[in-house]
Amino acid sequence: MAVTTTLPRRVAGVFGRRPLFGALGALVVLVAFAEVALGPVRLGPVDLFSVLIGNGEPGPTAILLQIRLPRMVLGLAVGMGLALSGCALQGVLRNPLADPGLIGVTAGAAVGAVTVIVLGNFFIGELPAFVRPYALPLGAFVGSILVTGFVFTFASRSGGTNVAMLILAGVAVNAIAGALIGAMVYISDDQQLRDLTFWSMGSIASGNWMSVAVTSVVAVASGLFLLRMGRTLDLFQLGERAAFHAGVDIERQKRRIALLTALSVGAVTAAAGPIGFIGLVAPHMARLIVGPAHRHVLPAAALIGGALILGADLGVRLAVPPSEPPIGLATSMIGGPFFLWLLMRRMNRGGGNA
Amino acid sequence: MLEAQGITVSFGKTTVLRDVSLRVRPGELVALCGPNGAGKSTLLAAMAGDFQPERGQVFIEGAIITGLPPAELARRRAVLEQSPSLSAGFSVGELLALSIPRDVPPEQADALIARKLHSVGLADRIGDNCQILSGGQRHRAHLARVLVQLAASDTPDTGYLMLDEPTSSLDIAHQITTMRIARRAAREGAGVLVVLHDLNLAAAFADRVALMHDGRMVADGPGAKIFTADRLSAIYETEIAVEREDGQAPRILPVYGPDAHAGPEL
Repeated sequence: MAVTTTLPRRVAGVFGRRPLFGALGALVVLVAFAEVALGPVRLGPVDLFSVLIGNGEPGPTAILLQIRLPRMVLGLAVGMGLALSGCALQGVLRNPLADPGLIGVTAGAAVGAVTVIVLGNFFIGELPAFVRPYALPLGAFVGSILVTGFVFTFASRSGGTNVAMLILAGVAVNAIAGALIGAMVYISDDQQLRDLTFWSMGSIASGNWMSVAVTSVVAVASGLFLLRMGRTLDLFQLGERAAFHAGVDIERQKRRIALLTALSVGAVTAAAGPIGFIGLVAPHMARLIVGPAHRHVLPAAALIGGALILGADLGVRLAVPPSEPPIGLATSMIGGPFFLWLLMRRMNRGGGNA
Repeated sequence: MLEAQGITVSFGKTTVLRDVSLRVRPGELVALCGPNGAGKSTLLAAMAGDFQPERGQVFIEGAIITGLPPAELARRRAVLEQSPSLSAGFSVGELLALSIPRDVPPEQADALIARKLHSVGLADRIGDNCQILSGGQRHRAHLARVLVQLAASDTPDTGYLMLDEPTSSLDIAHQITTMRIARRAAREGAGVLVVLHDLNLAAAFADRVALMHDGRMVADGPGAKIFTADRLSAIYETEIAVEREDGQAPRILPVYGPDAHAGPEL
């Protein structure tokens, strides 16, 4: 399958792919280490090691196990989940601007999550006991699957590759979601309002192993399925009809991708709030580095997504210590201009679909 | 055998195919001709298993084609669309590699890709990005991709190759190359169905020509037999002459009438 000798000039063409993945992996490890080591209280390798073998002092142990480690794990899960979702959506919709945030999937998840936060008191008691702890991610999932279903239907009607229509539909979905969230904010009490405001800016500082575990398991599980879809996503680049001719069960694969991305985005958004642009930026960086084949882009994007989230979190934490601005602000500040640059590059090429 | 049995297809209120039947046998090259809107592409799509006809049925080796899973279907027939497209920045080699099933060893895959690229005359472009190719070159690259799919299936001899206007974006030389490739596929055992606008190519290369008009099959047989000036002029609603020489394919010539001019006017 690999035609490695035939790559056009890309980074992968110069260095080969294995060292690139090695470098990306090393980068993730490095950022993850910095994430647990740096902060108001600096933890050295000795501290970390003694905590990990259960021999640490109470202070560093609490900081590491209760604050930084869950934060690091959640950051990696969020970055990976968003990057893989963005990658899969861009692939199946044949649309390089299909980011879960831009097309409204994240907003759908947010509406679901906010509904649970504000109105949860009225119906959580009705739910079976074993579902109650998962009400928030479930609500987010319901919201994200509704929007994903709409986007897929919409995209297949407008021909799939129409960038402008998809983004405009995302504008509409985001506006509707914004109004619904506004309505929830309006009826929320003071405590809920404070929760909502910080949550809606996006943060991986939940420090709550329970929500970290739920999100990580869901994001990793759906991520593993998405990672195996490289060949299918490659064939989608021929258009749906040609992909069918080449052996892809189009409707089934689309349903699968919609479900997996909705699960990922739902879980991520429930735990970390709406975090924009990672699903857009990570796959693009991955394509620049390893080329367009999805079996390479997917894992590379997952690594880059994790590194970006942790990098952004480190950035906001170290910028103004000891306060911790929400990470969503940082990703939007980097991702927004990146999105504009992509738009302008496409306009200069003169094509809507290149 | 690939066979459409009395199929009727409508889009909304418009009936596009009315009770159409067509057979393509292994080793045979069938050209599908007719004016714009005759239903050629729709018939090809139905015979590729794209959709279930309203009435009638398409069979591939005796099995109802829409009953087969897409992956199984892809092993039995390969289709080149009228306007193939590609949204990712794949190289020519990567484009062809899309047709290689997972279980084919890389050396075998590389050899197959190189062979098919050579046959469409793009051997030296294997590393180039598809986006820098010309329209005709890109069309030939997709033809090679489809040929790889046909050849990579475990039963290459019983496959069907379906080409929807494969020559429309090509210069004269490459039109002939493309038809030779189709011919060779038939000689190697595939059943080949080609939608063609160029009646001369059809007459020269096809074992049989199926002539459609207004959603119906109006003639089906060797080009030398069914291409008559009267029939073609009636179907295309313009005057068409047919010249015959012994031992050669008939030559179909449009008669341009008084508005055309041989030399400079003005």
